[in-house]
Amino acid sequence: MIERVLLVKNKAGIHARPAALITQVATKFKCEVYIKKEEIAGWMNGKSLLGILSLEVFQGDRVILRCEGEDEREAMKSIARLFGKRFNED
Amino acid sequence: MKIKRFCGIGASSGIVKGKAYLFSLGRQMPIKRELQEKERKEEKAMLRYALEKTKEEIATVMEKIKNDFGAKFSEIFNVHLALLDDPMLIPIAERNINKGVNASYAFSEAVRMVIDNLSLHSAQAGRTIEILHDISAKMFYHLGERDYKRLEDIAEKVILVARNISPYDTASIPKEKIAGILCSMGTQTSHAAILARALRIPAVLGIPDIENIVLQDDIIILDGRKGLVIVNPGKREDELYQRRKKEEELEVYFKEGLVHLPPKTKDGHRINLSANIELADEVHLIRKENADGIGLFRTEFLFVERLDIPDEDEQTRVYSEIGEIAYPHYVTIRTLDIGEDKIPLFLKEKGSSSLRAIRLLLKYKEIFKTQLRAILKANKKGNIKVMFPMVTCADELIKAIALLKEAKCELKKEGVLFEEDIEIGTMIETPSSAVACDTLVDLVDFFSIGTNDLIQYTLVVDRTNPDTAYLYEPLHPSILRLIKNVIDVGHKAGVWVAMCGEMASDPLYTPLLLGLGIDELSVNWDVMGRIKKAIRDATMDEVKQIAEKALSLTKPEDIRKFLNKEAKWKEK
Repeated sequence: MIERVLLVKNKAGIHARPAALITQVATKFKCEVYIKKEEIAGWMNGKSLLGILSLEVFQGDRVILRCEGEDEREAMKSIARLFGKRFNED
Repeated sequence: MKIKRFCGIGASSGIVKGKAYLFSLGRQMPIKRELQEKERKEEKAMLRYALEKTKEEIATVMEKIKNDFGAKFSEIFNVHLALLDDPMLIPIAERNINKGVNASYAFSEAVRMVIDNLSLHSAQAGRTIEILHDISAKMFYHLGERDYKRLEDIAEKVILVARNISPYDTASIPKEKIAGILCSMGTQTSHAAILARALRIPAVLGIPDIENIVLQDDIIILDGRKGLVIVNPGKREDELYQRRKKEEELEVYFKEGLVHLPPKTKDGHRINLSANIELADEVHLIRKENADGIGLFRTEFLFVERLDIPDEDEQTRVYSEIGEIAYPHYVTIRTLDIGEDKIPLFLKEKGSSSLRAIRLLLKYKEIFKTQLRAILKANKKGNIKVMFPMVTCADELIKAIALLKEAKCELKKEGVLFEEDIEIGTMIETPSSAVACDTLVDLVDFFSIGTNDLIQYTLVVDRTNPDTAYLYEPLHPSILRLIKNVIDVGHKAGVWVAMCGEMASDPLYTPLLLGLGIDELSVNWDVMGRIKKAIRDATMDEVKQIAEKALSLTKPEDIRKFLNKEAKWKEK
């Protein structure tokens, strides 16, 4: 199981479109993917757009991404890349 | 049948009469049916079948939009697909089936649970909920709930009545079958409004709950310019409708005869007659309609209904194209005028009636500066002007102009070539700016009076509220005095004064506005002929007397009667 703290840099935060991107990438992998806001309890399924949206993540928020399973490293790398690229937004 | 009248937002002009076609977005609950143990498997198979069908349908629409408008516009449907695949939706619906209810009810319960879980106050959730309703409608249809009407199934020309029209429906709307659009949601800048104007379908939006008031097959008269809706019209309304129809036909006649003649009074006083546009494509009409320029280019269509902010390159491309097509005519680009119910999704602001237009831009300076940089970069030939909306005091204007200067400096440093000497204007659409326009006049090259907001704010009238809409009165003495003040102050300082609000688009007011000394009327394309006719029928001596007399009257209805009596354009 690996975890990483990721900073949300795009202006709009994680609204429906970035959330859809995350789930699209996450579902490609076998491992479990969880996501939560740094300071708030409650993990959400990273393969669920509705789960991610219910976190209400805005610009400047930090989230923790957890991947658990055989391809966890690849999954982490791919999803973290989305955050790094600001979900291709600005 | 009782005649019902409503007043909403005239979102796309034209007058039509037709049958109502109620188009629900899956808001009704499907009927619950208890299942036998052995039926459950079959219901689950049906759910899966509907899921696949819905996904196929969405993929087809995505492909179509991608081809027609580009990949960026089709991206929203990734959200539809991700929702359909969401572990919190279909699996929950399946669990509901296991508990012994039919598939469509099970699905609707899952959707309801999901919506309950999403915070209803977040702008992020609002869009998702709309999309959930949208996909629900498709799912229900494929689950055999054929009461859920689909746009594709419309057989005759109808007036579409809905709560809202989604991007999905937008893409699949059968233009030839829609005579008019009537929605309870929406404003001038919403998706449905922009679409309706682009497709030239008359539309009235913003009448609360209209989809529950109108019944299927009710006869509706819809006036898209005035925002009027009459349900089950009587003889009198029918006559009125026929008369307005005739006026529209006259309009065509005016246009054909007058299109190559200048907007000049009988005694040779020339004013500018320009157009308001909001879709880049409309700028092509500038030659066909022989307009003097674009007096108002609304930029909202670039921003609303999308999840990301259009970047500098995209904006530059759009503005450059418009500038080039219009050249040598001018284009007045108004910076983003957005707010209230239309806070874009990329901002996390909650709707606020006062944080809009220039205030919103001054708060989000980066968005503002990106737009200003794009406008400057597009101004290669010097025919683009920039205009700031909703200004209330000099300070706002000073800040905006400072930002424009900053953008210019940056571009110069970057070695970008552009025409530095750009004309700057401000909308006068608040009572504060109209009263104290002398404090603004030295900062700008032109004023443009926006009558819609000016009237709304001065008379404290919400046009979308049926209880007060009748108070919306362009001929209120306060409005006429404000307009006179703006023109007088502008002219004294050598500043050009235009008008781009609805008032400019009604020929009844043309002599009065000419008499007050307006330099430019920026109007909707469809009334250009009539306004030109009104100008060409006037002489300056006459209109000055008309203005003087109008200003001396105290009751709006007296002023209206007087103007009606004087209206020469009505003859012939």
